[in-house]
Formats: sequence, C-alpha cells, structure tokens
Amino acid sequence: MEMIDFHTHYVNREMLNPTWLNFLEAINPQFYSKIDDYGKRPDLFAAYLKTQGVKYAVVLAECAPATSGNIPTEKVIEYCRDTRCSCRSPH
Amino acid sequence: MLLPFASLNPNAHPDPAGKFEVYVKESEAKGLKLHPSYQFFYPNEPRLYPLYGKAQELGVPVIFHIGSSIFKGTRLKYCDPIYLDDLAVDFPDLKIVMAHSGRGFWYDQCFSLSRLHKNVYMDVTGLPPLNLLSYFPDLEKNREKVIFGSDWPTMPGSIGKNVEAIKSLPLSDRAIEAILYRNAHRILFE
Repeated sequence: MEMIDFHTHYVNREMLNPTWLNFLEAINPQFYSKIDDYGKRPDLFAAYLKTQGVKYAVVLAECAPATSGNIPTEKVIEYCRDTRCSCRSPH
Repeated sequence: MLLPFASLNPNAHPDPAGKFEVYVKESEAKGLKLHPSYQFFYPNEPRLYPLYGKAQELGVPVIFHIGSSIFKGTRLKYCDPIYLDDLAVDFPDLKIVMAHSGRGFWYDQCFSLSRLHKNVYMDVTGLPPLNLLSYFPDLEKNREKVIFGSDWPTMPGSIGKNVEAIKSLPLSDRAIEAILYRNAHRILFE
C-alpha cells in the first residue's frame, strides 16, 4: 500500500527553540544523533521515507519564534527542491 | 517526494496573501501551515480572509494546528476549532485541515466539524494510533476525511511502526487506505 505522510518537519538545530530540541532528543534519540546530517541532506530523509513505504511527505515550515522556533519557508522549499513533485497529479 | 508547505505569521507579514501567492506560484509550495496558538491569532479574524481567499483561489490546503502543545508561551484559546467553522462557511472550497484533530481538548468538536463541513479534514498527527478509536469511536463514518501524519521526527519509533498501528485498528480496508493515502492524495493533487 502506498502512503502519504501529511505532517513532517524540516528541523535544523539552529532554528528550533530549546524546548523542541530537548523534546526531540528525548523522544527520538536515534534521529537526534543525526540531526545535522538530516538537516543538510534531504536525500537521507527521502531514503528513510522510502524504507517506510511513504511515497509523498508534506514538509512543514514553522514561523513561531516565540514558542517552537523559526523554520523559514525558504529553507523548507530549498530542502524539498530536489525531490519535490511539480506535477498536478502523479498518475 | 517531499512536498513543501509554507508558513506565515499573520502578525509579522504586511501582506500574507501576496507573500503566499509568491510561495505557491514561484516556489511551488503545496500548501500553508498556520499555528494560531503559537502565532497568537484567531483563525476567523477578518484580516486573514485575503490569505484564505488566495489559498482557495490557488486550490491549496491550509493546515491549522488545533490541539495541545509542549511549547511554553502557547495560548490554547486561539486554536479552538470552533473558529474554523466561520472559515468553512465563508470559504466553501478551501481545504481546511485540523492538525492533531483537537489533541487533548477538542476531539468531539473536530470530529463534528469535519462531519459537518465537506472541506474540513482531520489530521491525526501526534495522536497515538492505537488510541484513535477511543478519541473518535465513529472514525469509520468519517473515513473520507481523516489523514495520516507522523510528526516526524518529533515522534517515538518509526513512521512504519505508526502506520502498522493504524493498520491494526478495527477499521475497514477502505478506511485504512483512505487514511493512509487516498484522502491526502485528494487534498494535495485534485
């Protein structure tokens, strides 16, 4: 069965507020140990998604420096650029 | 394939609708994510209507964070799902997605809103999959309006583990397929 993950986050250590970073380290230490790699290499994330059976993943920007952090839209667009689908319908 | 969604802080941008249009048309953003409780605005404020009108015109979805949060400074009052009712009425072709489906506070309200309005969807990100039917006992009835999201990487385990948990729920095959793929496909590509 093909899958779409409608809610994932682009994360970058410098862009997240401490609460998010600390929570991330606690809840997903395996990812946290590679956070810098994933932040620079969308191909790593794309490869991981493939192992999980995910065909498309929505990657979210976040503009909330007072609470969670500031992950600019421009950064997310750049991150997705090499793997995004620009077609209206994939079929 | 990775599909970028933009985010804008309505309190920080002088022309959110104009900015969002640029994101979609020039940078191929596929939708918009808003955080009322992090950005401190009520979704049904009239000043935001040009932004919603633009999203409706462009045919792209808008996700709202609707539910609890771990972040200090969050103001929950802004993400009460009732404020999305006005949007659903005033923008009947806008695809409105409730991320976290009311986590902690508004499960019934989110379910009811999604049942009431053809353009309102439940994104079950951040809810333990095995608990979904306790939060939404009639989930099967709303199977065409529920969307899977992992919240990766801010989640325990793997995406696959969460998917398997959803597949193990006593739901029809049609519901499982809709939650994991077909509903999101319709929102994103149709």
